[in-house]
Amino acid sequence: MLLKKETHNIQTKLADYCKTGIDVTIEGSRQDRLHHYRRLTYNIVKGALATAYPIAKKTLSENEWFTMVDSYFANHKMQTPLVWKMPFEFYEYCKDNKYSEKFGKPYIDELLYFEWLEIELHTMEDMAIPVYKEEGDLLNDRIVVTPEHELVGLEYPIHKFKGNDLLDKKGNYFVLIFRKKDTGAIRFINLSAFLALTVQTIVEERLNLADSIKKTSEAFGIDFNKSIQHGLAFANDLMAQGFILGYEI
Amino acid sequence: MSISGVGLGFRRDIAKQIIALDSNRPKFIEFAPENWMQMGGYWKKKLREAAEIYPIMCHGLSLSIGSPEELDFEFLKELKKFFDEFKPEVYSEHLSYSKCDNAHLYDLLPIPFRQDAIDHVSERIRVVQDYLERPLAIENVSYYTPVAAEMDEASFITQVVEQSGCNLLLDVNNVYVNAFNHGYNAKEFIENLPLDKVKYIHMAGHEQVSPDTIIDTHGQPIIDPVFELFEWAIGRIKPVPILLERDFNIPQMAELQAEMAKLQNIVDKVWANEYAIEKRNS
Repeated sequence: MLLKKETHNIQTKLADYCKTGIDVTIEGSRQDRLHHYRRLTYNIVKGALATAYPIAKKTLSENEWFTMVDSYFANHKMQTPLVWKMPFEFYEYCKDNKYSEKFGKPYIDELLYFEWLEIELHTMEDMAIPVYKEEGDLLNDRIVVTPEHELVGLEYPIHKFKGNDLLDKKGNYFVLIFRKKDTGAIRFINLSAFLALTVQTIVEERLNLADSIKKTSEAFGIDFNKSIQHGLAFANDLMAQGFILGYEI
Repeated sequence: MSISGVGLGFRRDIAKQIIALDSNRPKFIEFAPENWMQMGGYWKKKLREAAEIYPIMCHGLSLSIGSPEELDFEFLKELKKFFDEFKPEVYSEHLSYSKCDNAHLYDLLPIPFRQDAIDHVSERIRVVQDYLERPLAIENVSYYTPVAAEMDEASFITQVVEQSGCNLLLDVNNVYVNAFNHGYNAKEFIENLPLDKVKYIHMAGHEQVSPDTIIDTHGQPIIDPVFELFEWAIGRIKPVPILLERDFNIPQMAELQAEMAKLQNIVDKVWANEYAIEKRNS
């Protein structure tokens, strides 16, 4: 390393000051102007997080939100060189530091994750789509779905209710989030546990719709013949909304 | 260099408009690779559409060439992959640091103007150029306080350029901002730079936040004194591409086009003879 330890230390001192805002004396600097660096770096992080998590920011009190933001900026070493990915580290930081417990708002982690997922699915690199045909038998052919999707299980219905209204609604909620192939827009579909398991078996076990509904019906102790029409209507809706692209060749 | 004339920063806020322009188009577009890397979906589609229409320049944000620690080769690998797809004519970065103690800060901190920093940064630039197999142009950044400086800024920049063999991106607005903030003569400063190494010029607006401080915001129109400094400066430089940067407070496209036209008029006036020679020789 060609850099002297002294110069290294000076650079570290300035970077630390930017992160914490704790006054520092740096030799050969104008003390009255150092604060611009704190302000500029902090504003970038604060702005990126507010853009990424508008609902969480609105849901939490200003004090709660800025407690999380300030602590994250001061203590977390942001790893990604890509600002658009940085908010994911904020979600992980808040989860690891148990702010949901500290603030008595157990839905915070899920809310942050849900908002991050929307960004990630919208922006993530395109995934390969298997060759598929558009015409087929919805019940008996194997289905091809849009690859940029996530089936999310939630304890709190953060996609339906806000703030303290969530506290007495702890349960099991499922949402399918996916990127539409043609427009790149993100769609959200609420699912029952039955339909969530049906989607999961279609995607993960590559079962056709009929076999998937059969397996799910057995798991739930429901009569297959009663659930098949419901499942078929659901699959038609998934196709209309762009989650189901077609059929394996 | 095949690109000439005035280009415009490609920002998401105006991406659709830039793609749809059918007259008074920028001659090229510039974007930060970090704002588009590892992306797919809607925005990647827009970037590809723009790249079909316009020549590309890339101006980085996160290389952090002045960091007091090791280069991030994982990042360089991704950068190289990105450049393989978009083939920018010029890749430029800031002569500053934005990562320290293994943490990104996402803004430009001033490197101490010291000999050991010159040696360190020059070595890093050489490694980056070798790895990416392309020259790097480094930009003179605006700074609000020197930090433990042992020499003046022009000497620091000049030695980095000479020692590393890189090119220079001359940001005329940054020269104006620094001259104002630190009380030096902008023209003398420019004359002391290795102007034969200038391959690209940036122009932007700024904001005066106190009687003795200007912040380089890229959020305002270019002011007349910066246009005047630009006209004076390019009279000392061979023709290179010029970029209009506007990152915040983005106005109507017509206003940006008018600013580009004003820059182009100055360029045409000052470089008329140079363009004629280039045309004759081509």
